[in-house]
Amino acid sequence: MPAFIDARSVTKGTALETDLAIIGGGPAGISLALALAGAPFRVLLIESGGMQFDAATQRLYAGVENGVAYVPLENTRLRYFGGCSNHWGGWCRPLDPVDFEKHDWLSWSGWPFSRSEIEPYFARAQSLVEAGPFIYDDSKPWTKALGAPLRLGNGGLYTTYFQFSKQRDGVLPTHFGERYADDLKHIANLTVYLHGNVTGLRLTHDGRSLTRLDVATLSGNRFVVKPKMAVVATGGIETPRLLLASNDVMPTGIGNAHDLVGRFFADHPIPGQTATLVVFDGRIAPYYQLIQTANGSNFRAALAPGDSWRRRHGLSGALATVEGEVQLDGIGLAALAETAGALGIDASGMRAFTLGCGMELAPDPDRRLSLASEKDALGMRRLKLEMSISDDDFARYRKTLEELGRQLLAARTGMIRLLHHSRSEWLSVMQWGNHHMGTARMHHDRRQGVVDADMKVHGVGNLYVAGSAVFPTYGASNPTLNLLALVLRLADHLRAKFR
Amino acid sequence: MSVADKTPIVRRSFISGLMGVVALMGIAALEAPRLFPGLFAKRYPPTAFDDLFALLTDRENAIRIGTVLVQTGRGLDVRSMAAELRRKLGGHSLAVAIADDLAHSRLIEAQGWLLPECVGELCAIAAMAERP
Repeated sequence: MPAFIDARSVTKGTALETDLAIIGGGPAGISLALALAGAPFRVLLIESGGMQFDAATQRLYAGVENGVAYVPLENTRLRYFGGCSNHWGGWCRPLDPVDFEKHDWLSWSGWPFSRSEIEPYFARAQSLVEAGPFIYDDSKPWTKALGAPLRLGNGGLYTTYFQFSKQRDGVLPTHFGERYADDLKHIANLTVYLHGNVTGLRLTHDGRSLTRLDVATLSGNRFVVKPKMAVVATGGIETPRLLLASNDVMPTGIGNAHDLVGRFFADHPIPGQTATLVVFDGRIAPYYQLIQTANGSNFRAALAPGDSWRRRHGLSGALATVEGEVQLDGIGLAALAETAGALGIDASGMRAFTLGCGMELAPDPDRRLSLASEKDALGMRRLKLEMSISDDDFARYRKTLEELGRQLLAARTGMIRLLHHSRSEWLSVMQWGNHHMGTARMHHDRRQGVVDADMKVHGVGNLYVAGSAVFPTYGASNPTLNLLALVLRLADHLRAKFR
Repeated sequence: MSVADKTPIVRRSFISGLMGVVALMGIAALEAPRLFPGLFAKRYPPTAFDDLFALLTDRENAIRIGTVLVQTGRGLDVRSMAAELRRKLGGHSLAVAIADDLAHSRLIEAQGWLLPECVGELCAIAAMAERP
């Protein structure tokens, strides 16, 4: 069984030749390598970190931020084998069909294909994240076992379901590096290098083809990799950094002829306290508040706007979750008593809960990652993030929760209180999903996308991007399951290319 | 047995009895509002909106909510609001008006609480009717 190779031990100045280079050992890079096992070509995967966290390596991620407060760039991801799967929560849910559509009411929206294009890959992606059988909204087995979902009036929102990456012994979801290291070591056509940082992508003089990757280690070693094709799988933040910093042939960076690389940065705002939910009779199925296990899977319910309602009202994706139980204050008790009384409902058994609500931001070219002047320990320019949330984003979040309140009242199930009345109030409790998306967006048209529908960088014949960096619109679902489906599709494409 | 011997027993009985009476009065004071709500409810002078207030569950709660709405609403006129609400009710029950509000997404927000519009209007009228 070949062990992983420490890039620090590679002879300085070496040129490693391979058919396909995968840059980055996170969920995307590891899954791509697994999917290419046994392919009739050589694959080299190179990862910046080792098998464990290392502070010096992690510091390579540091950057500067402006605008709306965001997680520091060195804290919002992890730079060692397994990448962000080393700190993910295991939440999985496929994107909705509406997430792929182009909408007149949403600038820059739309994927170059519908969900049906990646549908065939969800089952394997589900297997990679070890989330059990692919059930999600086909939820009858769960509701039969644990009780009916909340009754809502006809309208926009419905109960939907997350599944969770395997909680081994109730502790952790799948950490891709740890979980798949042995599998990767058994792949004959794969070589994995750890502690090697790709600091530059070098193109032919005409910029049409990638010729080599410059690799540096923190120990001072430098060598190159010469692949026939390469896939950048370094996440939604580091991918644009590498493309922008590789500017010796293309002065604005690779794939950036139309100034798109690094723009449209997105994450999911997931404030944990956005509303108070009152259930008049106090009866709520346990799967709303806590992860439950049934039918071989871990799952939890959320409340989401349906596709048709989103189309009709021009609204983004959102997923509201029921959190901790709370006590009502005086005005809350008065509102409850008067409303329940008017509806003729006995609310003496009522219970109240905090509602969290994650949502999708609208694509915004000004929410942007660009190169800063400061350099890291390897001499690579750091990133600067310009972060923002618009009033329209806040309005869409409000409208979604207002509809939930209406539906609860219409069904005589309960009522809600919205906790934030302005964008600034909302921002004061903001938390982020650490789901980095959009910075190398996918579009048929090179004027609107960095990569095409095959995730190949426009204008460069042998360079691809894998991961949520390519998401042109984002949905509200956690990206991992969806990006893995895209990666598996890319694996099929690459196999065909090498045939 | 002398008088001096009997006095402590009489005093003890008197104190025990007094304590019992006090306890009974306390229980009565606590339980009476629950047993006789009409007797102990706050009395309001007659208003021109009592037909609407008859629809309220608890006027004190309504005034509390309504005060919030009146503070955030501008230029609210109690008479025109009441006239509009009566027109909306149109002889139907409050439940019918609520259902109509919800069907047409007519909601009012009081410190973030989303209420059917007619419930909010009832509360606002109750609060405004309290004003001198």
